[in-house]
Amino acid sequence: MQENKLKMDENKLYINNNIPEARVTEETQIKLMAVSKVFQDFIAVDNINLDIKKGEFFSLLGPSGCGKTTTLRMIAGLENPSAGRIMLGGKDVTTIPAYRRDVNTVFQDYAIFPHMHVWDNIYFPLKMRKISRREAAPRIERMLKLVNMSDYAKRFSHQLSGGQRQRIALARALVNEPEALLLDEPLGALDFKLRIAMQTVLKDIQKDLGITFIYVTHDQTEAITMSDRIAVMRQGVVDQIGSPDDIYNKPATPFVASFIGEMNFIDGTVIKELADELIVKIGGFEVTCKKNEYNIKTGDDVLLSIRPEKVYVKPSDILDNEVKATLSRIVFRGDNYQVTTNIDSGELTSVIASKSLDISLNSNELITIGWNVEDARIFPIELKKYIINYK
Amino acid sequence: MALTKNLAKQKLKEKKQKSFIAGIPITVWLFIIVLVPVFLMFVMSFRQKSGYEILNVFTISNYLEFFRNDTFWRLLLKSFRMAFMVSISAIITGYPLAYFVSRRLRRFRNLFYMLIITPLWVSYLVRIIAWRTILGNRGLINTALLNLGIIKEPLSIFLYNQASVVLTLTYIAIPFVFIPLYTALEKIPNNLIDAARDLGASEARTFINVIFPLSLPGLVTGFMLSFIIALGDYIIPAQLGGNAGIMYGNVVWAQFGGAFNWPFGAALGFILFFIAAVVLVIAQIFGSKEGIFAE
Repeated sequence: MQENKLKMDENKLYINNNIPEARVTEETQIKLMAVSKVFQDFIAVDNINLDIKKGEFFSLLGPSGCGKTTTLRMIAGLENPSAGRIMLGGKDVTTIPAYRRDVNTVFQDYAIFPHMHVWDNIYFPLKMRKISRREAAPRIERMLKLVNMSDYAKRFSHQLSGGQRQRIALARALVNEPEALLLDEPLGALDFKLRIAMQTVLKDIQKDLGITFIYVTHDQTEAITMSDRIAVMRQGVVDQIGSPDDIYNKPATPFVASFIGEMNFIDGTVIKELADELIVKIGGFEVTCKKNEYNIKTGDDVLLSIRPEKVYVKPSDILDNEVKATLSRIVFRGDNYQVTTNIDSGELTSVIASKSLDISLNSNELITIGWNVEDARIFPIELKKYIINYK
Repeated sequence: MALTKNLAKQKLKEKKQKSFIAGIPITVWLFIIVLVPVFLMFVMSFRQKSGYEILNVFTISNYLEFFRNDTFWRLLLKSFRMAFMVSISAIITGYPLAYFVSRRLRRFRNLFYMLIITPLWVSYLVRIIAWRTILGNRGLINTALLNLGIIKEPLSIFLYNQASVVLTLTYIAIPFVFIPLYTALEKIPNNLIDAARDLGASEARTFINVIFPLSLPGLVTGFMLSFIIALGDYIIPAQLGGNAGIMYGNVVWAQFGGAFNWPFGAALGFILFFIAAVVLVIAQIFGSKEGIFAE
């Protein structure tokens, strides 16, 4: 894996050997301080703080209605915060209107002006800055080249496909060289294959230009593959800000844990407290769990979470925690199998393991499943209600 | 493969046939209420009046008379000028109204919309008489000015001239300008406005560069409607125009009424019809931006 990545980087350097590799700096570019937004009787954004670094690919991730788009619109200046301050490049821009802020947006449905052709659409932000057509021409040419749309300069919006409109919206938002580019679910309307291709295009452009990207999405895969850091939002609040690795492997809340990837949740009770570990009783079994930032004590009810790929079926090695479970279902999913088991008289629900199935399994067979201490996390049971359940 | 292709072709053929059959009633209807009267008028315009009889002959003398006698084409030109003024003033008043109601109002939008088109439910004649009571010697304006002591005698400058005709026609035309403009403005997606502002356009420049160009189809439709309404009207000039405010429509009307010269009236009418049709087609070509928001 590591080798593979190195090879890809070399390849990239070879292609763009005149462009310096963009790096995330420590300098803060956009800062949201205690920002809230209230619509009549509905709190869309509830006292959030964000610190976005220059050159960073920062994602706002969350289910629909979590306030991520409202947050983006407040940064753009299209929505006024009800409380709090927004800083852009060290300047307070809270009361500055959208047209005087040095950030541009790629809208969800692209918002290409239908009465102008592609060239004029990209010229629009330059025209607003009173740049003549002649002066703008080479810049527009460069932008069209960047998004691979040089042959489409005289086309109108309705003559373009979704992916092409998306590229034009991108070129139009970038032509002014803004301090930050805001993207509001830009790939949402594209089909799967095109979405994957555009992810690469976006990431490459972001690296090449070194511009801060703030990316709003509800697609966790998109956020994880593209971002330097992710803020996971729920009902107007930020549950966690961190690298994709942190978000995936150390989710701060059951909500984050359930929203990103697949996750098993098991109810249990703490029966014993050790130095930095807790003994949790789940059904008839006792398992060991790591203590964490939640101050969980003996006697507390807890929610235990483990990623399916960290749960081993019939493990050959000895694992920290092992329980007996009844096999109930095996589903083939292409590159893996989903194995569902019931722990201890059906009192505990499904556990999923996805691995190549080289072991023989029979339905209703009592098997051993296990996991290591560091792969499971425990949360107070009160947070169970925030689990996103798509079933 | 070939089979499914043939099947699809057949389906398409059936569909076409079906829509053809479905189109027959409306075509017949259109034929009866529009084309037949126009055709009859066209035939009439080539006949000749003799005393109180209309002779069954073919002659172009009615059309020649129009060009020979400069009264008629001068009047037509004047009517064009007045109709143009009506359309322009109706747009000047109607555009801000439509913009305000469609894009600025939220809560009372439907109420305002209804209020603006309410005059359409009131009899045309009643509205004309209403304007006489506003502009007349003992009308609203004169009474107000007299009571305020600004004038001692009632002013007669408000009524029986071109201005009073244009004013009243403008009033009649406003809803017809308002409705298409409102529709066009309301259809503009909000995210285009957001995009313009995001890309550096102030409110005024957003209007000039985005909102106004996108409202042009509605503007053209509104202009055409009010132009046609004003061009053919004869009741308002007759009621409020006096001698100065007379329009082409009055002459056409006179041929069918007092003068009892139907063939000549038909010829005059057909000339107006033809010119109006040309105007409509030109406006359609320049104003047609249909499907601008279509995907």
